[in-house]
This record gives sequence, C-alpha cells and structure tokens, in this order.
Amino acid sequence: MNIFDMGDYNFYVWSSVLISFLVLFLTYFDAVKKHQDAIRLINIKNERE
Amino acid sequence: MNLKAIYKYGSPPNFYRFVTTLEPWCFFFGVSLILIGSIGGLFIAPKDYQMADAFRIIYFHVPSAYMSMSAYAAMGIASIIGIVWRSNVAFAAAKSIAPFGALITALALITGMLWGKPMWGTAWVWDARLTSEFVLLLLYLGYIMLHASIKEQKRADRAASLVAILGIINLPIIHYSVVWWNTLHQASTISKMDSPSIVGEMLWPLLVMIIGYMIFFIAVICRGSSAEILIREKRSNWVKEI
Amino acid sequence: MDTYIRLFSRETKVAFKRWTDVLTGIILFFLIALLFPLISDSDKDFLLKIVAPIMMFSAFFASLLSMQNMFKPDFQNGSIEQLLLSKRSFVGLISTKIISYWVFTSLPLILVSVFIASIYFVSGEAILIIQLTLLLSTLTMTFINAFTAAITLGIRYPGALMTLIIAPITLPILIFGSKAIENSILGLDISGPLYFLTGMMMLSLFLGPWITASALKISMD
Repeated sequence: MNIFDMGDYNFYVWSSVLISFLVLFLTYFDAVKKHQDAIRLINIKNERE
Repeated sequence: MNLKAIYKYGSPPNFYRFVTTLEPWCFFFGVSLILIGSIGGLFIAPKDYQMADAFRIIYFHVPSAYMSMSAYAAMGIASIIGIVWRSNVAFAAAKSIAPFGALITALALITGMLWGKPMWGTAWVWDARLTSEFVLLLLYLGYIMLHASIKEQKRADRAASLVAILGIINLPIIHYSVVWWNTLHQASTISKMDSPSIVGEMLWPLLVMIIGYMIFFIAVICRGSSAEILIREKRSNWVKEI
Repeated sequence: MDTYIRLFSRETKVAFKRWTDVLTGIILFFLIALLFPLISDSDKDFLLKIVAPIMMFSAFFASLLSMQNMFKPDFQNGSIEQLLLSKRSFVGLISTKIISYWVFTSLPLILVSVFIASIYFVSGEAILIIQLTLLLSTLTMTFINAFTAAITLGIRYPGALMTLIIAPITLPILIFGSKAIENSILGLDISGPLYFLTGMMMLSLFLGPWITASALKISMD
C-alpha cells in the first residue's frame, strides 16, 4: 500500500500540504529579500560617501 | 523581567544584533520541527476510524489558524508598545508581522475550506469562528494598506497602530455578535464545525507542528524587522558599519 | 459652552452652504435602497425579507461614500488646525463637529427611511422600530466614520482602504440592526438587538471623539 495514497481525500490532503509549504516559503523569502534589499541600499549609500 | 533588559534591546543597534543572531537558529529549528510534524502527521499517525485520511489536514490547518491569531495579538502588543514608549523598534516589528499574519490567515481559511469540503460537504459556513477568521484577514489587509498609503514614516506607524489596537478590541465583539446571531438561526452548524477531540498518537505531530510554526514565525519576524530597522535607521552611524 | 454653540452654528451655516455635500449621503441611501426592488422580483414577501439587511446596508454604504466630507474640506482650508490651536478642549470641539455632521446628514436620512420602508411594504410599528434602529446605528456609524475619515485624511483615493478599516468595526452594528428590523417585522422580541445597539452607541459616543481626535492629530503633523 503506497503510504502516499490518501484514498478519497488525496487531492484535499496533498493540496493542503503543498499550499501550506508554499505560503511558509513565501513569507520567509519575502522577508529575506527585504533584508537583502535593505543591506544593498545601505552599501550603496555608504559607497557614495 | 529586568527593566534594563527591555531598554537595552529597545535600542536599534542592540535589537538588530540580537535579532540577526537569533534568526538562523529559529529558522533551522522551525523548519525541522515542521518537517518532523508533517511526516508524523501524514505518515506515522494512524488513520482515524471516522474520517480516514482527511483529518490529516488538521496538522496544517490548526497551526496556521492558531498562528494567525497569535500574530495579530503580537502585532497589537507591538503597536501598543510603539505608541506608549514611542519605540521605532516596536513599530518595525509590528509592520513586519503584518504580511506574515495576512498570508497565514489566508492559509488558515484555505486549509479550512479544503478540510470542510470532504468532511462536512461544505467549504464554508457563516458561523462565528469562520466569520471572525475572515474578518481577521480584513484587519490585516487594512493595516497593510494603511501603512502603504501614508508616505511619511512616523505618521504611517502611528495611524496603523491605532487601527491595529482598534482591531484587537473589535475581534471579540465580532465573534460574540456572530455567535448571538447564529444561536437564533442554525444552532446545529455551530457544533457541526467543531474540531474533533484528538488524543494520543495523533496528538504529538500536532503539538510539534504548532511549536514549529511559532518558531518559524519568530524567524520570519527577525528577518522582517531587521530589514525594517535598517531602512528606518539608514541615516544613523551604527548602520554604516554593516 | 459658548464656543460650542458658536461652532455648532458655524457648522449649520456651512452645511447650508455646502448643501450638495450634505445631500450626497441621503441621495445615495435613497438610490441604493430603491435599486433592490427594481432589479429583483418585487412581491411583498420577498421584499419584507430583504428590507432589514438592505436598510442597514444602504445606510452604511451611503455614509461610507460620503464620509470624506466630514473633515476634508475643513482640513484643506485650515479650520481643523485652528481648532487644534484653540484653548478649548480639542476633543470637545471635534465632538461638536461630529454631532453636527450627524444632525445634518443622518436625521434627514431617518425621515427618508419612512418612505423607503413603505416601498418595501413595511407597515405599522415596524416603521417606528426602523427609525429607532437607524437612529442608534447612524449615530454609532458616524463616530466610527469620523475616526476612519480622520485616519485617511491625507490619502488620495482612500476608498478601498476606508472600506477595509471600517467593515470589521461596523459589522456588529449591521448585524444587530438588521436583526432588530427583521424581528420587528416578524413581531418577535426586539429588546435584545436594541440593547446591544444602544450599548455600542454609548461606547462609540464615549470613545469615538477621543480616538478621532488622536487620529486627527496624527494626520495633521
């Protein structure tokens, strides 16, 4: 028996899993991107002086 | 808690240092716990005799719903601290919580619908809990939009904080009004949408997931608020040494 | 006390001068409420079923669309700054402004609601209850709108933002107001929702001016 098979509820369970991981991924990398943009901005400002 | 500790971490450079060292640990532990919980919930926990595999969605729905409310509480507290102590750090933290909170609330609603459809045949019902969760999403969106619409930093902070604080007062009122409204309409649906009681072998992945989500939340906030602090303090001296 | 009377009479003069602003809300209420019977099947039972939510929604939406008129003109010509600088309590002055706004926009609305109610085949005591409900809820909504208008003062095209901020706060008022009207039409007990509406009105009466004053101060600097 394939443990990945969730029977009738296959679609629902796996789409919940996927979308949860997607959202968590999204929030984290959005924060990382903002951080790196900020650092890049600061470096540009520093070089200008 | 030592008052001096609060003031020490309240200063931007100390806060930045603290948060950037904390973040990798939280990310590592958060992701690990989430993975462990997912594997436990999806594969190890036994099938429920009533709902077969569909109940496994609970391992993703409950943590996100729980986080959506905790995040709002955190945002509200940060807003109060920001207004009362005029703390830039607190406002930065509040602002970085908002996008996470909005996405997690949307996730809670979506996973809830994915659970409701196979479970009870209907993706949505207008009971107190679901309606309050939906309103929570609106509250987050209002906060984010308000922040984005006001160009001046300090004004945006204080205006959005007022809205966040109002939201905290408002959420219980909304919950209560919908409960009241429902008791006169469909008493049956309230008990219908209750979470099943969960015990034993099925419980530990849930706890692991909830804790994992919380630690992951802290990691995201650390990143987000450090970015915010850098932008706000870009003119000061300590920022030049990054 | 004298200052407040003078401020109120000033607001009266302004309301008559800018009568188009005042009329906007009332006309919107009228049109929205009128639209529904026109575009749906207009038999008596159906209309009696939908009159409760429609009344509340029309009042809400009309006040939402016209709320910018509360502070924006005075903000642009500097009057609010003058109020801020005066020796009197800013909160008190703002309360006077809000209450005068309510008097001129919502009281006529309540009178118009009688006509609207008769279009929806409402009769008897229910019409009085509709007016009472609208009285309580428009007063509460005016204070909530004041806060939202104050917070979004400097923003261009704040439409969606205002709705996002206002909808969660106004939701309980709409729920209970609609319930009150519905119960009075069906002949059921109306004291529950009315007590709640009165409670919300008291809450907004006491907290509203203070929160609006804070929001105005934030928007002003």
